Amino acid sequence: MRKLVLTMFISLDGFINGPGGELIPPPFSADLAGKWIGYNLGRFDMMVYGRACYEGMVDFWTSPAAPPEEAARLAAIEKIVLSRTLDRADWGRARIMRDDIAGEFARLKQMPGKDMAVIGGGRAATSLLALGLIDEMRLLVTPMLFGGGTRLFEGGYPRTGLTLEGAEPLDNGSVLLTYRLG
Amino acid sequence: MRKLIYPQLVTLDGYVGGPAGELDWHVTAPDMHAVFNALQRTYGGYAMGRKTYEVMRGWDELGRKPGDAAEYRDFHDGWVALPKLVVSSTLREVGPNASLAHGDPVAAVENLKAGEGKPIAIAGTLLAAALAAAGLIDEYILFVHPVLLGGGTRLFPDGLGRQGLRLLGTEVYPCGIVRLDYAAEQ
Repeated sequence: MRKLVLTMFISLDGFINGPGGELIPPPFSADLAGKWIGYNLGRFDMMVYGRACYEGMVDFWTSPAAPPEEAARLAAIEKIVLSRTLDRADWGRARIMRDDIAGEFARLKQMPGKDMAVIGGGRAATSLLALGLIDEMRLLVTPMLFGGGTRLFEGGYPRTGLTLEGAEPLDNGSVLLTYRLG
Repeated sequence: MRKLIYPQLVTLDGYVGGPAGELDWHVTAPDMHAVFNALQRTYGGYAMGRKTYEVMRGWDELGRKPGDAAEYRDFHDGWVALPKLVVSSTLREVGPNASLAHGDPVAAVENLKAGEGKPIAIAGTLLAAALAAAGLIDEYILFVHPVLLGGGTRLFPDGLGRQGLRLLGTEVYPCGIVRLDYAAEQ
């Protein structure tokens, strides 16, 4: 069965962006390219975003600053945007999911294909956790306190035990934590 | 100058206690306790908030009796030997080897930090937040427990300001706890 994997970077104090909503990506490095971006492109054939994160990704990955090869690979991957307000999503194979999130993901997990990654969005992550849909978490903990912003874990989901699969320090000072749920 | 370190047990979702203060997710098996005991031996003293001190005071008695578990006796011995500075505006009285600071908590800890000796361990989220905001914390030592609590008291409240960190080391324990050590960038 396809897995739904929470795949996000967070600051040590648990934020996915800064106090003004700004993206503060971990420093680029060989490990980040291989063990994060490359790994994600290889393992997943579907990416799931919250609305704000999707818009940020579009801005970056369609800009001249984006590395062209990765940008092309990313554009070719199927994407789901969880949003009640967005009316169109037209960056490379994106579609909007509004209703019956639990049912939709239950069906997607039964379909053939590679695993699916929840790439961004604090509220998206929290609601998928609350619905019990997340099978695994891969968190890249960046060596910084942001001091504010959007929290990955907003609370409101039930207490959940985790199984640690790995904790790997990377060459950019981040730590890659992997957990299995259920 | 002494180092100010902030050791904490925290869940993956960033809580140090559940919605009703629950701590039952703490791993206190003998092998983990041995790790905490060894860490305590590196301290030269504690700087504590009132609430945390009142909880930790249990160690004045716990582990004192010869029949208590060996890892408890070890922690008790370390605890009673360390001087404790308790920061509180309401407390009137503290136990053995402890002193009270009634005034500005940041100034009291800064004063302690100005001396010489082994590192001072901070205990208590409110005190830690005040010290972090003042830029006084030198190192964070987090024991990340493999659980999501979904609510409770946060290790890092909003509004601490941005702080760069340098990863000093990681360690994984068989129970699934990950230890993360960071130094605050100046």
